[in-house]
Amino acid sequence: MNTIPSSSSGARLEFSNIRKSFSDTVSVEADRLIIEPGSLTVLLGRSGCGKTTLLNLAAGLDFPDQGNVSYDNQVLQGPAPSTALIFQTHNLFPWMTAEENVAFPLRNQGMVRVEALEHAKQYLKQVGLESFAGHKPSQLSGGMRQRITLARTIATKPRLLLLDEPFSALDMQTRRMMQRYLLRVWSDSAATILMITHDLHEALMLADRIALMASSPNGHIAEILDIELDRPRNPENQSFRVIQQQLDRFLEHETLLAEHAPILEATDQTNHL
Amino acid sequence: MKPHVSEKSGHQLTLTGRVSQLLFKSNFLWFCLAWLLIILSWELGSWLEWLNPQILPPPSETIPYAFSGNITIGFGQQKTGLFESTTITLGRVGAGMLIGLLVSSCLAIMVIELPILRRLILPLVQSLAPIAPVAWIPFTIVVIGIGGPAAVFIVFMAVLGTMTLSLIAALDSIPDEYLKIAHNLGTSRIRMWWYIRLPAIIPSTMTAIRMSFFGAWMAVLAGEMAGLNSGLGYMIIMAQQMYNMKLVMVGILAIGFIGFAIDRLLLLINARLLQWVQ
Ligand SMILES: Nc1ncnc2c1ncn2[C@@H]1O[C@H](COP(=O)(O)OP(=O)(O)O)[C@@H](O)[C@H]1O
Ligand SMILES: [Mg+2]
Repeated sequence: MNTIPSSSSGARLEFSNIRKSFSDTVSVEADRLIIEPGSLTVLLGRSGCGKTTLLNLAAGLDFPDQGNVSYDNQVLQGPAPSTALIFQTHNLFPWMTAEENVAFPLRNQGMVRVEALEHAKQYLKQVGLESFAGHKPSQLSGGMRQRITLARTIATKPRLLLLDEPFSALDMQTRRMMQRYLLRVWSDSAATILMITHDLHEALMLADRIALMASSPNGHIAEILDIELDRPRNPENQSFRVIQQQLDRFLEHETLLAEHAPILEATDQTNHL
Repeated sequence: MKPHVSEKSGHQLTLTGRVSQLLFKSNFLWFCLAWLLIILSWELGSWLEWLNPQILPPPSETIPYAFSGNITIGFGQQKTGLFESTTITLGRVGAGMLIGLLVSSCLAIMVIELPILRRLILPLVQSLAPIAPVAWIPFTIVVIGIGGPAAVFIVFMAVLGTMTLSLIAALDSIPDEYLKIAHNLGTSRIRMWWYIRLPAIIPSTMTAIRMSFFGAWMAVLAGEMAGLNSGLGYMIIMAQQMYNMKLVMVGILAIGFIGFAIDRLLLLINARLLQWVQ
């Protein structure tokens, strides 16, 4: 029935000597970042430091000016194969019901409508939303929409999941629940996950590795940390808190660097006037 | 307590319920009242001989005349009736708009699929759009003639520019995420147009259609008054030349009511479609 076995392994990603410029002043760099098959890597950094840019490169939706991104040791020259994208919003098509949304990629693969909808219901069941199959996204909460997005993602059996702040628009309780759903999808599918967040706590709850990004002078990966905390992660845990404090200091410092410099300049200018 | 109750009843109403409420409970009543006032003062004006009934026949003559069922004017080949004229004009507007929509859809698809064409097509439609629809009338009469095809062409030219521009603008403003995700989910080009872009642009396209309907409706009537040989506009001109002022009035009222009715119809379709795509 399904040609791709659900146990297919995760993809391997490698960024090498990447430079992507948007203007004379804005550019994003990544010298070397290897994302092992089946790992869960988090890109953490304040907004504007180039996280989305790197994710677009990984998806093969955009291309670097220098260097390259390879997927299973092949340089990406177009959209990355069996890769799923999840954004913060606009993941579901508002004119389709929940089940039509989940069935859509199956229909793209040529599955007949009735069968695709039948499958969709099964996937919705896995995120506990089978009774909302006929609802439009506008009738559902933000958390439910992201769960349906996860259901659709499972349906496509991806080898690589790219998530751009997928839970940032959700309240804290819903976000925690979504993190657990994501971890379950990850352990069920063995897919490689690259996820963006600016939420330190979220990063520590999920990541095998955290790539810390800084934004000055250019957006770049400042540090790569292996997070060797036991799973399931417990924020009350002493070692969790220690790492959290370290990273918090880094982000604080980074924010000071990035935000105070321009303000000082601006003050200078007003003094001259 | 009170706000809660009213909010609840608002939620429970269906779309048609809400529309009929809007139409009948408030707006429709005021609509009738306003017209009743006009008609009454008109009648009074004629009765007091402030208005010349030869030029402005009173409603007590015009209204029965409008509903007498067999309004015709002219002789022989030129003979035409209210119903026939209206049908002809509506047919012209419908055909012209349909062709306009088809051609502008093709142009918009080409612009999106082949970015080079954007540079060629956009300047053309941008210079077409600001031309007042009536400006095409003299040109058309000389080049195409005074029959039905000329009228359809005027409507077509009236809507082509604005319709194409609105379609392209609507396509350009589809959230990037939808396209990225659809692409990512392995959507073919055709499915992309049919299942993603089309539903995404329906609300703004419906608005564009409503807007261009007004332009088309006016252009075709002006064309019929300026020389085309049939239709509602032609009937009014003929009535004026034969000094049938009752028919002139009836024609004007018909233009107003039909325009209004079609606009409401488009609004209703719009509401339905909006409910579907949201
Ligand atoms: N398409 C683009 N055109 C111009 N500048 C861009 C574009 N995409 C991103 N940038 C700039 O690159 C920097 C990094 O952006 P982004 O990768 O979106 O950051 P993040 O996702 O970390 O918030 C920002 O300064 C942003 O303004
Ligand atoms: Mg971003």
